Amino acid sequence: MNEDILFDALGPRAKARLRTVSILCGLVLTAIVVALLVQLGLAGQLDLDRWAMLADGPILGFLLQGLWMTLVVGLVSTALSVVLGVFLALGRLSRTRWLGIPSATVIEFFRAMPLLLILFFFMFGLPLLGVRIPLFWQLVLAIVAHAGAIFAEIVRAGILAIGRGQSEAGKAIGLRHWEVMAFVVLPQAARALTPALVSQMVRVIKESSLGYVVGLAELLNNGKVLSEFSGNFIQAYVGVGVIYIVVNILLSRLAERLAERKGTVKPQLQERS
Amino acid sequence: MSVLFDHGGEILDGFYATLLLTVCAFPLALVLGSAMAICRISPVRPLRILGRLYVDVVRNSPLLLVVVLIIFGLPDAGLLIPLFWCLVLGLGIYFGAYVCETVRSGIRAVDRGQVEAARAIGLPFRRVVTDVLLPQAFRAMVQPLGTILINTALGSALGAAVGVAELTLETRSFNLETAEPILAFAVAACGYLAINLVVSLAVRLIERKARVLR
Amino acid sequence: MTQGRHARRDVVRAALLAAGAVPVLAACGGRASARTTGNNAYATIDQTGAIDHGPVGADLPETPTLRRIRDRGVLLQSGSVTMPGFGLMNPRTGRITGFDAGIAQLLAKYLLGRPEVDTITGGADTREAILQNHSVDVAVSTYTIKKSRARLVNFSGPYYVARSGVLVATDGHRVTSLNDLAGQEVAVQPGAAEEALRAGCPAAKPVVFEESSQCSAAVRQGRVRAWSANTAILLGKAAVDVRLEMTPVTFGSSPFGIGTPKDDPEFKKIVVGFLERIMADGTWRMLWEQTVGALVRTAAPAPPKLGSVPGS
Repeated sequence: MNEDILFDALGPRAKARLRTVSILCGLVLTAIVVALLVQLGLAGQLDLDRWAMLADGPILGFLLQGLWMTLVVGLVSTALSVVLGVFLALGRLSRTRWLGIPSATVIEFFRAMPLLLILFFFMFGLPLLGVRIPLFWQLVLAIVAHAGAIFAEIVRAGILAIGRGQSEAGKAIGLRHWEVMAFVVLPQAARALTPALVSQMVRVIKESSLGYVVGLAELLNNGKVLSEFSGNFIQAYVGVGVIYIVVNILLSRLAERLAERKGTVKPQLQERS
Repeated sequence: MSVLFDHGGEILDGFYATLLLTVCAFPLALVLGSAMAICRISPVRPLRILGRLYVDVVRNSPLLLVVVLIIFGLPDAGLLIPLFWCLVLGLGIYFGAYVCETVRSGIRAVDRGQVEAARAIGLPFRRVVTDVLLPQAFRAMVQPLGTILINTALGSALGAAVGVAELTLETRSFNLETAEPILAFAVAACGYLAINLVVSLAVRLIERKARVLR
Repeated sequence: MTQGRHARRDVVRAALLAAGAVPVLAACGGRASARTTGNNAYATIDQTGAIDHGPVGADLPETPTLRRIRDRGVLLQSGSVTMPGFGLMNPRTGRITGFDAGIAQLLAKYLLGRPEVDTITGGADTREAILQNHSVDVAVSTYTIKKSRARLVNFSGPYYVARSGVLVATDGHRVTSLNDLAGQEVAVQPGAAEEALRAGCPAAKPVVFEESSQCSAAVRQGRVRAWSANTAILLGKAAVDVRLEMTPVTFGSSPFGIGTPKDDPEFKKIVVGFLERIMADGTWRMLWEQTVGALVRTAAPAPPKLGSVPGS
């Protein structure tokens, strides 16, 4: 539904009133922003030399190195979690119980766990049990376990959204269950899931910021190192935040493009953070 | 097992803190998110821009970044609030963006014929919204809002990264003190599973109630 | 669709506006900036001179840990990259500067002939576990020697004895003795500082922050009454931020040791031999002057006596 139909087209008086309200709101918002900035300025947080470090080549390079690691973690985790998610979803949808129940259990369990708890288990729990995992994989595996379970439910919804007629037709021509899935249902679901794939990547990129906790040199962690070195706390984190936002918005735009080109309707899949 | 009794109190305190964080942060997210959703569909342009900027900025930043900036940035902007409430505020702001999008797509999900019909029979704007639009939009929002509530509970685990003693942090120290990782993490897992289960049941119940309204 | 394009244009415009506003406002706030300038002192810490001076070990006995290090060609150290004066990464150069980082580099040079070190950060809680399962070769990370820990890891040292100090905000309340902290919230970092405060002033309420800049922000903003840490870290902060000041209070003594795996006692002897060498030939002193000395600006003390602490 478009929001526009809530109102009639505005007449001249309403238009004038709207303009007044708009200007008032704009003024109030500007005032709030200015008040905040003045406070920050009084605390010395707006001093130019505090922000100048963000324009410093080597320091920018250091942050971009962090971004690179974030993207590597993001790509690897997205790829693995998508594979895991597809298998878990197929497992949950399979009609054999010994596949269905374990898959459902894994999905429901990891969906209910906070990522940080899983990460702590890898960091603090496993070493006590004598298991060693390199830093990078501690983070990646924790993200994959969590994000894979979430993606499994998205895939399942995508598969269920494919009309039953499709799989019935497949069965009618004598295909087995897995053949129907592999050649008829999944290819169609995959098309509808392309945008979900990108939002999965955005989610994973945000989650990779927990490298801050394990000490993996990703973007937020490098922001922390920069803030420790320079003492410019707010500036380092705002700089890092802008990088996250730009990268993620670019990715989301890409998703929109993909959705438009494929000519598919955006699937009404609920997004999880 | 006896170690569980020695440290059970701390774990329970942690679980209580997690619940408290969730219970405080979720209403904040609801209020903030709904307000921002209203901003985004209002005809007032500065408010629309505000809403859009809020959603774009918050949904594309990591939660941990939002929380850290609130804890150490806000005092320099003249607001010193206790650590616990910083986390509540961070969770509220972060998940408010998701609430905002949920409310908006809930409203979008209502058939436009419904609104047209309501206006055709001469209902005033306020009653179109409160009697026709919102009740139907609400139905589409229950499930996603439940998901956001669960995510708020999961997000509160970041307290462990900033020094708020909630379930995940207590689990970590329990694990380090007792060197019983399986037990420690199993207990914590039960806590989070319980939250998930309760919320899921509640969502199902409310959805059933909402269906009767039809 | 037109609606969407419209909204997009709004966002772009707002973003441009915001992006434009920051430098402008920053320029407006540019006065009186000298008092809040960043931590230039940290950029001057550079221990390369001491590393160049460091010895290379000869005829070292082959032990499992040493073999692992030599096969890998790099020493894996559990340490910090955010601890000014001890292990702080300079984002400009990518180098880790500080006393602990220097000790690790010197040890790598002693064992390998080259100061090749990989620093694993991961917090104070995991050091015993990752030494035990050989995820790292050594822990050089303001690691306080304790009898209880010595059951899980071998300590060589002490190579440094830290005293805890107390830092407050200039406009905050005075702290003249340790008792003034009783009942007060005091920021500490996990590990040595937290342990020292709990032992030195059990009545204080420690508030744990992972990083030193978070502790200093918490003090400056009034979130806590004071910050207790190693005096070198505190002096370094106080030197660059006029809103923070050192109090005369010092307490406790934390003997820092190099942690090595429990299952390799021969390797511990090698590390002790290494510490004896650098303390005798002046490398230790040089390292102290180039790292901690650059922050505290006093003459170097005599190196601590090896094996003088229970557990070492």
